[in-house]
Amino acid sequence: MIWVSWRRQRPQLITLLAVLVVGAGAVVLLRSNMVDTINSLQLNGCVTRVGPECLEGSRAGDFRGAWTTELNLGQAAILALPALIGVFIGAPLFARELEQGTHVLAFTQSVSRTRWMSSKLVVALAPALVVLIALQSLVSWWLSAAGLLGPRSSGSFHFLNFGIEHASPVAHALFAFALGTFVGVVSRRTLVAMTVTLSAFTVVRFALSDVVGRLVPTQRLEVAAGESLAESRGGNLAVESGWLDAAGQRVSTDRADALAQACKTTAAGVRRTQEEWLACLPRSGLAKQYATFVPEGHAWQVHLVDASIFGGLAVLLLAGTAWVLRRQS
Amino acid sequence: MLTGVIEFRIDRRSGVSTYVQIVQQVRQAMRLGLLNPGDRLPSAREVVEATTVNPNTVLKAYRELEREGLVEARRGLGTFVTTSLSSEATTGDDAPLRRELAGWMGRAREGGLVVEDVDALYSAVRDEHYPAEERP
Amino acid sequence: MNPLSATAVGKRYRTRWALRECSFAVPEGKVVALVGPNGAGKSTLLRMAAGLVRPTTGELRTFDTPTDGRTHPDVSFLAQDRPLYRDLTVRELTRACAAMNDRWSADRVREVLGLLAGVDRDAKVDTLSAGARTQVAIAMALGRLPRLLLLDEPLSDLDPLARDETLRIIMTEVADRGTTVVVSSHLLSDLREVCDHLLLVDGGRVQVDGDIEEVLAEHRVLVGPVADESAVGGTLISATRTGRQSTLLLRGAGRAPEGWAGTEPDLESLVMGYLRASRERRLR
Repeated sequence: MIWVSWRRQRPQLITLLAVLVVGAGAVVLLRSNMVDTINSLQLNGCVTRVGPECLEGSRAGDFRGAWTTELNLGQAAILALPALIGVFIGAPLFARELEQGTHVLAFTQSVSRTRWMSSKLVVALAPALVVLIALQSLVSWWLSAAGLLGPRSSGSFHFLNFGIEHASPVAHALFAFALGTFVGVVSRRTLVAMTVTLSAFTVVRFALSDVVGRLVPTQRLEVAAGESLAESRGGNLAVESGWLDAAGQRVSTDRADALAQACKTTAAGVRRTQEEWLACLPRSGLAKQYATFVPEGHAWQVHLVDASIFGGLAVLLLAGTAWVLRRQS
Repeated sequence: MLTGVIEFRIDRRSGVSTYVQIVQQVRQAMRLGLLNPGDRLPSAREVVEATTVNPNTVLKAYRELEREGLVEARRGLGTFVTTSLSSEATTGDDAPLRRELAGWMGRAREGGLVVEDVDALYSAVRDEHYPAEERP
Repeated sequence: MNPLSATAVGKRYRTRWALRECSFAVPEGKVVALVGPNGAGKSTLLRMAAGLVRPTTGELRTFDTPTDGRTHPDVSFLAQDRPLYRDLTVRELTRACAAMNDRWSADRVREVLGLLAGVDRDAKVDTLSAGARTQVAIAMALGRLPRLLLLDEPLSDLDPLARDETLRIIMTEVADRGTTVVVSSHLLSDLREVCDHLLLVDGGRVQVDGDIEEVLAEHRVLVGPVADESAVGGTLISATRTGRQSTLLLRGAGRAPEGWAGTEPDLESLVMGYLRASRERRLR
């Protein structure tokens, strides 16, 4: 049965192999060119630490001008790969069989529907995941060569960085694949399944990207009015921020804005100075500022939550696929 | 292709069922001396390969012939003719009755009769001498 | 044990009943002609017997096992649209089918494909003519060494030569292995010489079920004066009438009364009579 699935899946597997070879070649070549650039611009020090010459120097500017687009494209490729796996491998897997009626051939042989289905799933999915992980590692290897000169400087929680690290790409690919198979068995039309999978995956991916950060333990920072909340920013994931009253209760954003606005002028309508304004705030009930955030060092926790959500959805969708196929006539 | 001695010709448009055609053709071959005791009838598979009929029909025809006592099925060997239906009167091209009939046919043709005329005459005379009620 | 039997089987698609109250039994070793006009429910019945469709009501059994979303190991099915992996060669397709079956005779498939004139084994299935594809699909069905062979319109896209070739292969299968065969067709003429059992379906119901010779012997076509129909016995199936003359198809009619001529119907007129009657019932 594995042979049958393999033979049926051959064009996609060959394409995957080509993607791997071309992708790996491109990354190796680009990385080596980039390392040459770093050496020739004498920016090696900026890869691991941020000095003044790394931020404003013209050499750093030259480097960023030359390489930011390429590096971002590399990230985007890994970000897009799960969607492509869903659209080109997941969606047609069963939809094409149902569309051409060839499922009837399999269903009337002695192989069970469950075995037929699982063999197809494994043969289609496993190589795709292997290619994804390989390319993810290669791009990661390329990105670390640029280090803080490259996109890594925007922190682990930046959309482009978060989506291509740790278990997230695999989980997203699993979800996209499962979504593709499910839409495929429900629609029974390859093109419809591919289109719906792409749109649904994009929507879910964006909708959930804000949610996952809220599901891990956060840290909280409270400072007096006028003091800096910078410690909660940087590479961290900001979850929430706002004002607290003297009792430590959260003040709603609208009310806080109104109070802060009111403090800008005296009752007589004279404009207050910055110091006077800061002194006015606690008197009006805006005692402290607070921020909750996930420290950059805890990014792995967010990745795990992300992976479990998408993985869980994938399992549900695969169960749905199996359910529909068992009822298929 | 056939190892047996006769080949069945099934006429699809005659309206006579395949089963009856096989029975009649075996009987006729036996009367004409083409099949004699000890001869093996073609197996169902041989008939199927030659004429594309349902093998069940062939077997059913053979059972009917067996019931009439004309043939005998031997397990694993085939179906064999056991009796003789041929007589001096029907066997061979020079049997006297056949010769007379051949002469009559020749005269009919010379007289300008077409095949329908001949058939009609033959049937009418046959039915006079062999009334339908007396035939099996 | 009947290879195929139905008890009050019905199948509803949304609001339309494709089959209703179908009861019949196919005796072992028979070659059954499943006949009826297009849309009569023949395909539904065969797909149900192949375990692809579940009955809405009643029960369909193959070799005494209810067909419950699974094809019985002794059953082979040729679907009407001939589902084959088109991107494979005939040789690869054979290997694929072998891999999907516990019991498989590569010899049988080789033998059948060898008898077929127009099939190149290294050609992609996609490049074969529709007729050759049907023949390849039949070869695959026979590879499973079935005891019940279900064929949905096997002759519809074959030229006369291929039709004879194919029927011969099926009949040889019957002769060699005693396989029970159910063949559907909307053309009775395709099946008349090779079948010995009739299952006539129309409007989702079984109209006739029985050994063809017996069914024919049970019926009479009587021709006589219109004015005198009361003299006729038996069950009237259908009638055509001109100004003076009635032609009646009857079951269990006995001897023709005075003034009437009676003959045994041929299979075509019997089937036509039942189909006409069934259509009239539906129109009423």
